[in-house]
Amino acid sequence: MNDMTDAGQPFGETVYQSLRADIIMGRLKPGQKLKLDGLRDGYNAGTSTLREALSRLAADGFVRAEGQRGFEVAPISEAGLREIAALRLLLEEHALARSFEAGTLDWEAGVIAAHHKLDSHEERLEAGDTSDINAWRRSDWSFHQMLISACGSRVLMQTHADVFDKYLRYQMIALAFRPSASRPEHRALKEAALSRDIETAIRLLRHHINAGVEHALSVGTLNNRAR
Amino acid sequence: MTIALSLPDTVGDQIYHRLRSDIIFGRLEPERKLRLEQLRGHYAVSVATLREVLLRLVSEGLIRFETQKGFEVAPISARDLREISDMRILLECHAVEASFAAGDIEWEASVVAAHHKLSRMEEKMLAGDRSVSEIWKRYDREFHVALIAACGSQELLATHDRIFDRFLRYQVLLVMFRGSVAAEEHHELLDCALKRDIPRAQVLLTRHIGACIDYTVEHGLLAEGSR
Repeated sequence: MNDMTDAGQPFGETVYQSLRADIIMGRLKPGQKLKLDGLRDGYNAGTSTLREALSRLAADGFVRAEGQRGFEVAPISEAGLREIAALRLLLEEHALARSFEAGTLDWEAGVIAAHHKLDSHEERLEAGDTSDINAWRRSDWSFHQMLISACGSRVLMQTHADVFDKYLRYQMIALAFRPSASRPEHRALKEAALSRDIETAIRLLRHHINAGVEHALSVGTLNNRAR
Repeated sequence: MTIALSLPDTVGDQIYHRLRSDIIFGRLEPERKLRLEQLRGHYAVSVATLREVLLRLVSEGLIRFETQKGFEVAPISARDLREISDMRILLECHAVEASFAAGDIEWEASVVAAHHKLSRMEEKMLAGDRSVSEIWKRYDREFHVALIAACGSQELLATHDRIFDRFLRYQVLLVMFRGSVAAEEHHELLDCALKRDIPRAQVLLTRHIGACIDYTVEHGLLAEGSR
């Protein structure tokens, strides 16, 4: 997930990042019209900066530009979720294998630290505390990213990050979380990483992502908003 | 490569396609500075529109932005080519499986047609006519895209699209023409498609795509690049 505030970025980058984060986190809903006038105050930006940002988001796939009709947040669909999940799995499996091979002691420590944070968020979720879903989502992203971080390819990391953002949007919209199931899955993934057991890790990841998809679809919120 | 066969919607789109094409086909060389004022004079558009175009190309990996330096055409390196090749192999081999499984007679026809066009250009290139170089590259791309077009995932196709163009830039810059060997590989790939021979297609693709990095290393064409 891209950082929201980056000093030294070209002017207009923060508006782009803010809009992107709002779409991914579900604050801007699928199909929602994005009128430049309406956005100006909320994002404290002029029309041309906003149009720039929206065009870029259209190229990214988060916004749809409909010529005369203007911009709207990209719609979601069951097929779209399945496609993105499949692509995430393809990239993450491949990256995991390379990461396990190359991973050093520092990498292991990073995995342990990321898992520790994730686990504490999931523990709270399991206990019924849903006050900071966003923090949990971020720690989930960090954990998965840490697992593949030793893969040695910037292209692979960046491509995976872009796909993960799209996957994350689906999960945010679906308001789906299943901490009692995902907690042991994450723990097992961490353990597989530490013992470099790639076969187990891939099996776990496949199950983890597929279960996440099925859960998101079953919760019902996704279907109500899908077009 | 959205070679604008459809009319671009805006002035920004037109410039985006032109710049993109200029970068991929090597007319704007790696590390060349892209100064907003210069570009503005050349294209007669607002700085905002230019920034949007440049930032889109940054997210595609064709342009780089650095705080002190501004925008420049993305550098090239052996490391980057290796990462891009690996990604292209991963995506294309995966897509070919779904595409061959799902492809119907219409899809077969499109593959045969795409190969026909490619093979005509290859004949010309082999006969020494280099004036068709750009068309040849376009048909090469169309053939590879046709092979995977029935894979059923828009996300996979879009991701493959971007990676292919980054790869294509290397082929153009390094003046890669592997002659009849590549032509033979294309012919074999066509054969695999018609016979739905997935494993053989995957082996061929891996060799076909991987041959470019071998060629580069053999001829000492690229610096390794930074970590």
